[in-house]
Amino acid sequence: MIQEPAANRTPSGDYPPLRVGPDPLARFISLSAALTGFSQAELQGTGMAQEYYNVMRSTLSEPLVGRLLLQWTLIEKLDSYLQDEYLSNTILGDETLGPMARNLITLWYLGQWWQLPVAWRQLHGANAQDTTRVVSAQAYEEGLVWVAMGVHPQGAKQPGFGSWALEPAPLPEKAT
Amino acid sequence: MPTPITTKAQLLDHLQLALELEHATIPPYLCALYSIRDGSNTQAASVIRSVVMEEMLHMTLVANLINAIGGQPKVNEEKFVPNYPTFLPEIVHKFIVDLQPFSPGAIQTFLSIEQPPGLRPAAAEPADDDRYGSIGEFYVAVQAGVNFLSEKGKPSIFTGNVQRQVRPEHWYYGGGGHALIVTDAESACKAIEEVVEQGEGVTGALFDDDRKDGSDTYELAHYYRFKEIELGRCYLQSDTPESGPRGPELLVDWESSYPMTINPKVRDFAAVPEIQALMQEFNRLYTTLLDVLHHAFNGQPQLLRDAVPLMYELKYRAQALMRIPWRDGRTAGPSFELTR
Amino acid sequence: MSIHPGGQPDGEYDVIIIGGGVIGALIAQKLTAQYKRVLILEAGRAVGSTFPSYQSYVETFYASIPKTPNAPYPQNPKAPSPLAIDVHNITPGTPDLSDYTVETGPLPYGSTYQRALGGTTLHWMGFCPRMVPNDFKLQSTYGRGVDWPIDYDDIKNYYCDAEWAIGVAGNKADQERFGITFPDDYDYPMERIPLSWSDQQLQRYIDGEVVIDGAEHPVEISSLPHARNSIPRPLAARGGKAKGTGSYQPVPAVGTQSTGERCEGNASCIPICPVQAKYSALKTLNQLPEERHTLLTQAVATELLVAANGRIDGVVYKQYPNESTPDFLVAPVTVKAKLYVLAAHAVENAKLLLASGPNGLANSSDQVGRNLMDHPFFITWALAPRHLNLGQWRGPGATSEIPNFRDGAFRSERAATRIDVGNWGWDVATFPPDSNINAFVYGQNLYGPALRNLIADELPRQLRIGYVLEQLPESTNRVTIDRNYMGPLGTYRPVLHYDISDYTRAGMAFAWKLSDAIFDKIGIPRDQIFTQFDENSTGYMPYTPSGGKQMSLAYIGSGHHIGTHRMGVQKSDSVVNRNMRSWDHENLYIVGCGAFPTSATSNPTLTASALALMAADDMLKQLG
Repeated sequence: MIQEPAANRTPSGDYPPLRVGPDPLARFISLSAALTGFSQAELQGTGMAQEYYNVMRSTLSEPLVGRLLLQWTLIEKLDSYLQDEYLSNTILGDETLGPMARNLITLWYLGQWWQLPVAWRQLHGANAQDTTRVVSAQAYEEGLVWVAMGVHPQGAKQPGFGSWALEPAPLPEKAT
Repeated sequence: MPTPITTKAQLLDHLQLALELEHATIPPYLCALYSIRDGSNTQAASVIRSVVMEEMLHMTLVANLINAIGGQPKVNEEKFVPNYPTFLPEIVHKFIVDLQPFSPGAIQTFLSIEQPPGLRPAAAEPADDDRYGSIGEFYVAVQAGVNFLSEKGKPSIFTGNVQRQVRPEHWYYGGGGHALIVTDAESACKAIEEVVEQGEGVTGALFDDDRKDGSDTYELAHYYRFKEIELGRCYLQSDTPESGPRGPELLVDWESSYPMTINPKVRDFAAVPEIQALMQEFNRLYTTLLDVLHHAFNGQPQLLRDAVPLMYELKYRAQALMRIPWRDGRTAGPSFELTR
Repeated sequence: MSIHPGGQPDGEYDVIIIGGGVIGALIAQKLTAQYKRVLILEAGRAVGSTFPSYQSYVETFYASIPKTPNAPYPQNPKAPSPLAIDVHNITPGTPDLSDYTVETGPLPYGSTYQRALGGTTLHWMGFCPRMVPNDFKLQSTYGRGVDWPIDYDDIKNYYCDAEWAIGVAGNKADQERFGITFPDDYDYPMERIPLSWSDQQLQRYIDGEVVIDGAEHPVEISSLPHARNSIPRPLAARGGKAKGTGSYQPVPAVGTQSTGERCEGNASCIPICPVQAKYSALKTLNQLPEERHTLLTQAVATELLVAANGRIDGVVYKQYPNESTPDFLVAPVTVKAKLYVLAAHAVENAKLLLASGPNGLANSSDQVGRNLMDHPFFITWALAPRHLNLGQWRGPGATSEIPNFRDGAFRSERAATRIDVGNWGWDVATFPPDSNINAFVYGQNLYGPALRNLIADELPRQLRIGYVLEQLPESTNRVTIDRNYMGPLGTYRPVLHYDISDYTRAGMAFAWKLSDAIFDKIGIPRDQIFTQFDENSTGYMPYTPSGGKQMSLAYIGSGHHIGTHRMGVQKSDSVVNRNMRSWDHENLYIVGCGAFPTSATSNPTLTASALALMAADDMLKQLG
């Protein structure tokens, strides 16, 4: 069953009228840093933070975004061990927030938004923006997956003639 | 005017200065170029890009000149790298060169750098007897020195090992021209001509008077390429310095560049270690690049191939730095500091 | 010189060439150099004929999922291309209509081509290995397939011409094996593309021998010749035909001098080289002398006309002003010349011949459309040990091959194979990195530093080896047309009938053993090898070796459409003669990979180019 898009509901609908809170872009970036394993400076360096924030806002309803960022605000200041535990349990492990958070990871790593799982869409409504797509050409070029791999995106940020014959970046210290 | 060059040692000193001079202009050009947002100011970006490519080629040509006469180009010493804001190496009139984003101020600086003889830069301090009127005049003096030292009956100054020359096959960076091998007075003159004609010009003419390989158009001298950006209009073949540009409009959007902090220094970013780490990483790569260039110019020209990936990598990292918000509405940026 | 899209015929022509791809472009270049006037009809758009329009295709590539060979080039409803996006096995008796080509099976053909100016060289990989001498005489040497009407000695000088016309980077010393020879004073116009770091690491472990079923086989990693710009050689390397001094000038991108003179390592050769360092036919077309050629784009040839004396007497084409113009508003136009050249691609050539005349043309042998082949591509994949730090995902798709199994007595029993050592991780095996994100983030619920580290650790170690397999000509593998499957502008959609015989399947089964032996040499433990196929795999096919039990194999298409109008020594069993001239119509040439009698293992474009230059010589002789 396809429900009315969550974004169209009145604040008195299923969800409490949560607001996104002060400086939501900053909250979004710090949450993204925790989710991706990249520093906030690295994320800012992609130039994509605002665009991805906009993707999140246009694809997910304000109450859902509010819930996600509020939950993050509650745990953001915890020391890293506790923060990780709460991030894992109350965001990634949450049946509403988890799929949203995983999609933010995909957004940063691939520049793609993936349509949310069917079960999630049934629960929270299907938004017309919630389609699988590359957000923009620049989003592809700035995908973090390539940075993590220590290479350039295929077809972009060319590394120059013969670069492929040179020794690559070392692998991370410990096998994971 | 400075005294003429009459000894090989003086010539080598001048050429090493030329190397420093050519290099000193590159970080300012790169900052302006990399600050331009993707897809905007495309004509201006292609002008700056073409100029900076040629400056890189000029460094290579000067290194070939030094090697041809048995010298050793030095490009990775502490004093080789300017501390911006800086004056250019003590050759020409004094004016301040900053690391800054694409802006009217940056273009004014570029005009000063590339000024043809006779056109005094507006920002310059009064003339100084030990300095040349322009970079073009400096190279005229170098050329005269080569001629003087190559006069009939004098022992050849071209005693360098030809294996140290950077050859055309060693060097390719996105269409920045071709390296010339220097082995005698004639090829030395050609190399100097290439540097001067591509760059500042000696004659003050708008266009380079020989057609480049395979190209149907005359090359506009650097100074006038920047003039086009300053004035927002292109020159026609029939235009003169006096007429100014009378061609089509050249669209410039000064707002569409990342507002990089002017003359950033790593030490200024202590408050945000994340940013500082990225700046240091940039500087480590930059230092590696200078090391690779140094080895390439000192007997291992094939290493130049490995410099190109470093140059690309520096570009992407510089662009990333320029997108990171810093203070007062400005962003971080590359500081081009030597890091050992 | 520049390419002008659209266009109208203008005056008289010596030759009409149908198809603006590499074959048509090279023929046009050779003919116009001898002051012949040429008209080129291209069905597709002038994709990339200016630098900005080419860049728009790069942007389209960035924004597309999945990044298939055709992804940068939007489908053209007036001249569609097969996309092979969702290749799946075919239910017997139910033709697969999901693509432009109709597939009746039993196996999916699974390869694409590009109908646009420049043709499939827009998204080819650019490998240019020559064929080995025995490839031209498979029947007389190994009792398999057929012999070609020419041998290596007939074509070797044309190989040199083609390598310089296209601009191939290679070292001849690396290619001199299995009887491949070069003139003493000759070498490729550019130095070989450097071997990737991954190749260099693997070389240390692979070079030597492998033992399979008790037999020793030499193996080595060797460079591949590429049609992509590298460090130029002196012009003297052209040998006897050397003109001038200085160095070969690598051809830059069309419409700019500022990029494309070197491969920049974009690692996206398929589907698009952003800097055009990889050869495409656009470069040759861009150099044609303006006054001696006309290029009509968006002009779909629909029929060849034949006169009573058997000579071709005209080409009918329909030129659509834009893709949304209704078909009935596009009027047919007839153009004439002395000679006609079909260079529209193996499948399109066959389609046009079958669609012309009351019962097809050039088909007294009944071989038009038959003997369709590809190089079924068998892939195996594994994670290399950490200490090798392969540094995958850099450089062209492959910079080396294992050439040792391209020829040998075994070819009387099973297919030969040319082995590509990949540089792009598991690419076509699992479609990373998207598949890894899916597995790591959604499957393993990883995030943060653990996710970043796993990607950093695993993806650079992904190793994929691909086995390009020989296929024999079989008359039932064919292109047909059918009134029930019509395309735009009154043209037909090609109907493909395709199967893979036990000869190739046996070669594939051997390739798998070889793969295990190679992975073993590299020191990859069994649990780090991930090759696995089942009924749901793309291109799944079972194989039962004699005396063994059934195994599951699978392949993907190589995009090497071969056969369909083969050359031969006699009219009764071939479509064209050794000069690619139709036996039935003396002023018609049918050129391209379709003329190959057998597939062998070499990527076909270089050989097709050499043949095109050979055919052009015959055209010049005919024109006088």
